[in-house]
Amino acid sequence: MELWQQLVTTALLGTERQAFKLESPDGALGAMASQLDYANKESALLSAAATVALYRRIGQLPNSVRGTAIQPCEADDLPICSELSTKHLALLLTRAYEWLLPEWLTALSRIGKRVPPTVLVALLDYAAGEEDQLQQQVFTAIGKRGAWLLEQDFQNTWGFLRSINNPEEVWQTGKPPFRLRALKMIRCNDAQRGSELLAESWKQEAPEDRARFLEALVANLSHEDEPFLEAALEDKRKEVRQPAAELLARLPDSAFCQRMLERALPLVEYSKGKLHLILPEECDKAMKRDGMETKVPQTSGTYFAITKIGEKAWMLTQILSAVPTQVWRERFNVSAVELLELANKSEWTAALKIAFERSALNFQDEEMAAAWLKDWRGDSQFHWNVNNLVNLLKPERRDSLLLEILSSYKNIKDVNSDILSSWFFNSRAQWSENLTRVVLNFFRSRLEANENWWARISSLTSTMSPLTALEEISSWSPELGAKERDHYFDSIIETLSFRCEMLEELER
Amino acid sequence: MSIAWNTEQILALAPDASTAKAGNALAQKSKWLTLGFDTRAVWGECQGSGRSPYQTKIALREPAFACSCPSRKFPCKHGLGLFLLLSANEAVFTQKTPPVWVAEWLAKRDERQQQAQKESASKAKTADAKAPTRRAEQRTKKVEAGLAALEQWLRDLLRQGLATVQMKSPRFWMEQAARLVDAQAPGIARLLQQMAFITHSGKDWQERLLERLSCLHLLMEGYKRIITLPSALQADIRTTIGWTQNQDELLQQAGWHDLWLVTGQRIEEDERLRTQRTWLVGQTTGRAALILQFTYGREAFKESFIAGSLVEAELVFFESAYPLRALVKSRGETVRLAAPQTGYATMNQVIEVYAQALLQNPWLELFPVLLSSVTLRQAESRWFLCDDEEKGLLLSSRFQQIGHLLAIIGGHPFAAFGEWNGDALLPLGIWAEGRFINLSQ
Repeated sequence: MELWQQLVTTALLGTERQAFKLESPDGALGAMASQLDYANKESALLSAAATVALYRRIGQLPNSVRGTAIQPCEADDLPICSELSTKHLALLLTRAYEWLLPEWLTALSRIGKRVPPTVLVALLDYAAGEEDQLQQQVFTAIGKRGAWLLEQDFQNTWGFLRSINNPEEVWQTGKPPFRLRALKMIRCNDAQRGSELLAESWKQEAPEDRARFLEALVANLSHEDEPFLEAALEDKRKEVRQPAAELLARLPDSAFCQRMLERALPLVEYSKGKLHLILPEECDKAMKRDGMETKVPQTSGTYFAITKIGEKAWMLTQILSAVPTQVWRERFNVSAVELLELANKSEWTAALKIAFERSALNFQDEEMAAAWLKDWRGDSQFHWNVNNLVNLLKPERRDSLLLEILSSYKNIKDVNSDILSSWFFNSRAQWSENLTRVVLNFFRSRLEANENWWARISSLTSTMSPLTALEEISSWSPELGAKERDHYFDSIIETLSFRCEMLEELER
Repeated sequence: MSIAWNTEQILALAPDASTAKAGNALAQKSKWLTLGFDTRAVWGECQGSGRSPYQTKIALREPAFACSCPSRKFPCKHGLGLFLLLSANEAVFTQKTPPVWVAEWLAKRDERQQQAQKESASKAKTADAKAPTRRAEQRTKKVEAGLAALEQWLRDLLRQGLATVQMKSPRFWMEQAARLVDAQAPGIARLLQQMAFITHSGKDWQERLLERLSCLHLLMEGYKRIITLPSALQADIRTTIGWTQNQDELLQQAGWHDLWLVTGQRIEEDERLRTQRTWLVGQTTGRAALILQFTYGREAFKESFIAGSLVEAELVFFESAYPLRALVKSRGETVRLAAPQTGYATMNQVIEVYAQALLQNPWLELFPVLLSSVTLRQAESRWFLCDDEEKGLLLSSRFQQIGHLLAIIGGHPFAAFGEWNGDALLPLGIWAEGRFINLSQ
């Protein structure tokens, strides 16, 4: 509007520099303009500006908005969790209780509910910085509304979470760490597609990336992956050949495992109730191609026992790791337990036990895993992979095995605490009620012996069966470990009570 | 019980984040030794670090909180926890008759309220009888002197031109504002402080600044001729400059009875002064009211309102050509409602009524806007609330919760309440899927 622009220009330049004269428009504004007292220029300018500004304001029209309308979200099929549960979730997103979030999300998914829209932003903000598994759980918990929200275009930090919806896009265009996660996701849902995508871009990938991306093939590994992996054994870089060999070692029907078996058979004999072993003389070219090494790994990142075996024994171990222990059990007609006893009696105990353990992991051999754990009984030399063996077992078997091991000690006080360390403190799996009771009894006996176990109990409050643990611990005498108790007791009880409450409310 | 507040509404009463968090942690049955409620109050005993348990009580009407713990915060974490627990899990409140320590408290409150009403009535009477005091005369003189100086300052500014202002730091404005505070014209001081940020507010800052300065000029010119103006406009001029109206006198007037929906609430902090704006919209008359309250530090506001609730109340309005600010003369029960019964249907309507309001009071700052059904739209990275004629109100850049809003509405239409300042809308609350969500947190 010209009149207004005139006024703005004059005001900007100042009345000293710019003469102030209004062209009198018609109508009411003109009448106002003619009433101004030009003697006081600044006052006249301001008065005119006040009138015109108000005139413009009053005549203002609302904006016409031509942007695209937002696609409304579909109705959700899952019901929302209760308000009390929402309140629990809010607490779980604070530092006080965040380690209990996976448990809550698992329970939420089990009862088939979702979180209310009011907490979506908070939950997604939290999940944006977390690891895959939690993100997957969150993705399930947010329902259709949450998935819809991820698609909306506004400022947020949820870049990667969106890829849960379209991982292929992230695979094509994202940064390497995101690409790996995307690939893993694709692979979990559609194994073939995953390997297709990797094969397509394989030649263009940097060696470090190739090595990392092979990780993604672990999920849903099958003999269909064999050709690709066998080709990868020819890769120039060791860091690519190594994981390829490790993956091939898990496929009992592969050419790789066949080669290992052929090498292994002549080396292991069973007669007169003993194992007779022949160590390989050298590591030939074919063996090297299959990822074998002569250099014995040192402790960092592996078993302590390994450092004590020689090069040739180490070669034997590597070969035997790629042979399922069922082979020996069938050939020699022994059970897994008996096989281990034979290993214990032989002169190459360490080499054999490590090989059997790795074999058990490679071929998901529950029998050998269980036997191995029973035999191990906390020997710290063989500490390295115990968690993975434990996780191999089905939950009931795992719990009953531990109970068996614990009860095999005449005096519970003698239980090697390393057992508990590797069994429990690193695994997130939930305990059964029975197991909880037995282990708590063990803890109590330790407290009675004036050992400070409150800290360890405190670190297990998220995995013990909550109601059982609450009952047991509340029933202990206040004198038990009195010195340390004050520091830990309240928060242990609080965490267990909270877990009981939050699970109870979800189940209601 | 008729009420069932949701978590957000209750947490909105917390004085700070740490109390809210602590209150949340206390909202578990295991923390309370006794729990009970009846139609008037909620109570409980909580074992704290002291020897005897803390006694916490809530009078449901306002609601008002009291607790025997040593905390100076208001409401304390026990009060919040108790209220949260009630809203989540009524069943664990087993006592039905109030114990002595609750009944006594309720009785004392009733007594105090009656006493306060009597006192304000008598104060008003004596105020009528007195002539304007010397203090009032002195103030008038100071203000007039301050305005005269300001006028000169303004003239100099326009003589040199607004372009020179861009180089100046905010101190330029703050210093002038301080002089007006000394002249006992705090309203004008505030207007000047606000202008400090316009020069860096982006495109067209010159226009915005000129508009504000000319509005200030209008105010000063109005004051010079104040006795020739209608009394309602006189009231607006005096209020905008910074005079306050006598609240005791106001409370003697007859009020407006209605069932009022608390549509929005916002607290602003300026150092230790906290200002709370609560908007009410009468459900039978559609009339809007603004309850303005002030406290220092961590003190509670005198009247508690829960946004989204319906309150039976009698309000008296401050004199104005477009009355908005009001006082609570009396109040009754608080109940909950799903959605507002009134509200503008189109943006054209909103702008029309706003224009009318400006005509009455050109210095109107915040205009209440209750919208019965809008959608959210984005155009060139700006967000708008739109009606079904594709007309929209721009959302204020101070609103930082677009994600949260999107999550709640799911792209569907919703009802909303916000403050319109002529350029942008600050949304304070919305109604979606049968629930009220307070956006000012």
